[in-house]
Formats: sequence, C-alpha cells, structure tokens
Amino acid sequence: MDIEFAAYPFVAARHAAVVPPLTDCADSKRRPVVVVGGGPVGMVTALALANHGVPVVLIEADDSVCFGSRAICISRRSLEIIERLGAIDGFKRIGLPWTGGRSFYRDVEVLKFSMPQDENQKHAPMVNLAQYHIEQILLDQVEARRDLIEVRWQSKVTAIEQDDQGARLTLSTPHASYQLDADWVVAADGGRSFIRESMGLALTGTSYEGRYVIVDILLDSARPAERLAYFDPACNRGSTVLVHKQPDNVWRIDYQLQDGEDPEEAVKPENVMPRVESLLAMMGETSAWKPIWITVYKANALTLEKYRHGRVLFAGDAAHLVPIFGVRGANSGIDDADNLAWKLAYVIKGVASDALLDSYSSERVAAAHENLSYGTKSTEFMAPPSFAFDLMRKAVLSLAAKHEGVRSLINPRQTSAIVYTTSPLNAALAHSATFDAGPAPGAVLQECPLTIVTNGNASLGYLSDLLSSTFVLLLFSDDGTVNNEFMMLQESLSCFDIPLRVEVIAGRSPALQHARVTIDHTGRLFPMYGAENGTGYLVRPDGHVMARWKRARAEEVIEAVLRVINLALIH
Amino acid sequence: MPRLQPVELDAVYTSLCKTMSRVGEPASPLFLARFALLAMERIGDIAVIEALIADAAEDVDA
Repeated sequence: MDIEFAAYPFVAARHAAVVPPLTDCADSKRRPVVVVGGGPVGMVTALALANHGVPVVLIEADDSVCFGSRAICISRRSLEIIERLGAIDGFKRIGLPWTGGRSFYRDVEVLKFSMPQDENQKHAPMVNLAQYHIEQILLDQVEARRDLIEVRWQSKVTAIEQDDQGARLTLSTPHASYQLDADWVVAADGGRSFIRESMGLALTGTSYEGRYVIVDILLDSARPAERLAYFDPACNRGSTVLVHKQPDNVWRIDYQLQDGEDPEEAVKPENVMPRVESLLAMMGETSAWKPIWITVYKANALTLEKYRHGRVLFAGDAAHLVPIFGVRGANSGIDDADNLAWKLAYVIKGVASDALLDSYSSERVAAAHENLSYGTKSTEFMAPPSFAFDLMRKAVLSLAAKHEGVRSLINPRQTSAIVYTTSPLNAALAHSATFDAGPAPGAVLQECPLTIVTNGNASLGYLSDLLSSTFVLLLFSDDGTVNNEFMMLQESLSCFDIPLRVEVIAGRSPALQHARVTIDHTGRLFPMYGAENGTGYLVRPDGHVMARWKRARAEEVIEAVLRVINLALIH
Repeated sequence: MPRLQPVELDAVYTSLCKTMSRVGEPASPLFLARFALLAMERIGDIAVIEALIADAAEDVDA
C-alpha cells in the first residue's frame, strides 16, 4: 500500500555548532549558569534569567527546534509567564485560542465543559500551537536577547561532575569535545535526561500500560478549536478518540489501542489510515487529508523526589513526566522555569542565600504531585488501567446523558495554576486569614483590567502588567494617597538593595499626580481582592502572592521580603 | 440528601475502582451486588431506591 505523507507546514532553520575559545580543552570562561536543553523549558529558563540580567549559556544537542508531534496546548498561566519574557506576540499571532470542549459517548453528547473565562481575563484559557511554533517563537526572543543568552547548538553533554562550588560539564560537538565550568546547571534536558541518568537519579511513580496512537494530519476544515473526545465511537468501537485543532490545518488525533493490539502493528500507516478515515467520516469532514506523523504514546506519572541536587537543578520532563491528558507536560515545565529563574537569579546576584533554591524544589515537587494526581485521574479515565476502571467508565458514560450528576467524572481536568499552599515562603498567614476574598499566599494573582498611569500618560492594562523582576507590593488606596512610611519606603529600597517595588492602586482617579499610579476603573479589583484603604498584597516575581495585610505596614512588608531572601531564617 | 462535590465523587469513584480491581473480575458482580445492598439499606427510602433501580436498568444492554 502506497501512502503519501504530507510534511509539517513548517521549515526549521539549521544551526551550526559553535565551539568557544578553549584553554586546555576547556571553555576559557566559567559561567554563572548553564541551561542544558533547548526545548520550551530550557528557553523559558534562559529568557527569564536574562530578564534578571543574568548571562546564560544554553546547550542544545540538536541543530534545530523540535520535530514531530509533541506539546500543542499552552495554558493561560503559561501565557502570563511568556508575556513577561516578551514573547507573547507570536503566541497570539499563531496560536488558536479555545475555551472548552465536548465529549461524546457513541453518538450522544454527554459533556460540554468550559474552562474559566470572563471579562477580567487578558489571555484565553488555552491556545493551541505546535511545539515547533512554541520553540521557534521562544528562540526568536532568545536571539533577540543575545546580549545575555548564548546558544550552543549540536552540543551534547557527555559527562557531569559537581562539587560545592559548581559543576563541570563535558560537551561533545561535531568539531571538538570540551569542558565547561558553571556555578549552577539547570537540567532541562527532557524525559530521557542524560544528566538525571548520569547522576544516578530515578523517577518514581506509575507507568501505565494503556497505549494511544497519536496522529497529526493535514486537513482543511473550518471546524472551531475545541477539545473533542469520542468514547466508544461508531468509527472505532471500544476505543477512545481525542481531536485537537492546530494552526495551519494540522489536526491532532489520539486514539486508544485496545487490549491485545500490537503497538508496532497499530502504528503502521495501512492500519492508521482507515481508522482516521472513518473518524473523519463520522465527524462529517469530507475534505481530502494526508497523514503527517504517527507515533505511539504510553502514559507515565513519574517524578524525582527533589529537584535540587547540589548545584544542579532539574526542570520540566527531566524532573517529572506527567500524562498528556489535561495538558500538564509543557505547561508544568514552563511553570518550573518561571519559579526557578528569579530564585536562581537572586542567588547568582548575591541578593539571596542559596537556601532559596530549596524552595524551588519543595514548591515544584508539591506542584508535580498535584499535577500527577490530576493527570492520573484523567489517565485512569482515558486509558482504564483495569477491568474495574473500564467497567465503571462504561457506567458513567452510559448514565451521563440523562444524569448530570455523574458528568464531572468525564471532565478532562485541564491544567490550572497551582497554589503553593504549603510553601515555606508564604508569610503573615494570620493576616491573610482575615480576608474573605482574593488570592491567599501561594496562589497566583487573579487578573483584572486596570488603568495604568505613568508620568501622566494613562493606558489600559492588566494587573499582571504590574509584575516585575522584583517583589511588588500592591498597595490599595481609595484616593491614591499613601501613608508617609510607604513614600519613604519607596525611596529607601534602592539604597539598601532590597528587591521590592511599590505599586499604588487607587479606587478612583487621584487628585495628586504620582509618577506612577494604577486606577481600578472598573471597580472590580477592590472587591475581588477583599481590599480596603491601606490593604497590601506582596507578590513574588513569578506572580504568586507571598503575603497580604488588610492594613499593610512598611516594616512588616520589608521583614517578609528579607525573610525570604535570607532563607536561613526559615530553616 | 447531601450531594457529593465533583472532587468527592472523583475520590469515591477511584476508591470503588481500586477496590474492585483488588477483588478481581470474577468476584466483582458479587462485590457490586453487596455494595448496592448496603447502599439501599443506607438510603432508606423505597421510592428513591426503586427510581435508582429503574435508572440503572434503563438501556443497560444497549
């Protein structure tokens, strides 16, 4: 059978290997940080470090951005992070926004879900784009930051050793092998992380037996972007099929293999084509189509127990493997990078003690466990691991059309921002407990449109626009006036090198002109945050709230920041 | 009667699946029958139970 494949509608540029000036087979320059892995997680880490002014060497084994069917869904939380890196435009230009999806049992719709979306949001809950797009957009921004980021393509790590002061990597390139010394190494080298394996570290958790065939096809269709799930469809009895739209007429189709099916046989084009053909016929898609890429997937729910190992920090798939269902893979890795970057930057710049990096591990390991528990539940539904899960799923699906109460069990539990409930960084919890609204310490900011006035120029913006590479105190004030102690605080911060900025949020246009003030013109922010005149929210550079006070006092705010940057006090 | 929140329903659903997996396939009909019996006894309302029996039976062999 002669089956014609289409190519992805994307051509990746090839990048030459670069070897730096060497002294005795070693890079003559020691680096503060080397990021290993040029995927989304490595590039987000590098960009976020560059935002803090930290120079980075980024190591990538391949000569181009990735190929094949990989991550396709980028969450609102990831978009917030990417916007702070200056790379949001490409995601908005190319990505397909969507807000929900539908699930069918046989030919009956049994669930219609939507992700949180309201007038306060800056970004869609999810956008779809291929991982090669994701990487190319990030790479464009990495290249725009060549003042601080140096990419070394075609460079493969072949050894790593570390001591108290840093790590020595051995890199192999087509031209030479050499050594590279760094104070810190970020291992973002993917699911089969060489660094993880060479350090003898093992992921623990559950590997599932159920297999899915993943097919990307080229199909011209005006159907909107949403998540479609078909359980036991007429076109593929007994199986489960997922359909996602990507840009440029690429469609992602995932279908579950049934017990006893041989994965090697199943991915042969002659076995894939009829199944896709009958799916498209069932969906009423009549245009001609071609396969682009076929692969087989098996769900894993695995993590390292710690993400900091001395001078080496693990992030993304190198640290944890979460099932695809719920789209937590790339998104959790981007969250890792965002959490890690400000902490590592503060440590490298001598602003904070290196104990701060242990909180990267504890916060993100806790996040991984939460992601894994949701991912596991989704997997147990999408790829039932035993006869019991299979039987119960049949019960749910066959009752769901008439019994609304069971439909939540079909919901795919899409990724959402993680709350660091038990973070050692959270402060002033007794004060937080007096609020009846707003994000508690550990939660991310809730978005809200605002008017931001800088030197008399007003522009429409959002709360997340106020985040910066420092801690930010959001200080609520009815009329824009602030207590004298905060006026003084503003001025003293720079003298003492404390990474904190104050942003005044006024309930109404202030009579007095500040250099900078933000106005809650919709009147929604104050109630959403349970804010009164004098309320303060202390927010970390990654947008997570650290502390909040109904009536903030400058001294307490400073104390909370100092406590975090000298983390020794916590232990 | 109190209703389960989605996350609670999720938890007890998983617990039932895991227990049934442990009991094994041959004993599962008996396990489910015993569970149904205990649930009926606890529900304690004939009309509710009869309605649930009818709902469960509807299209069960479709």
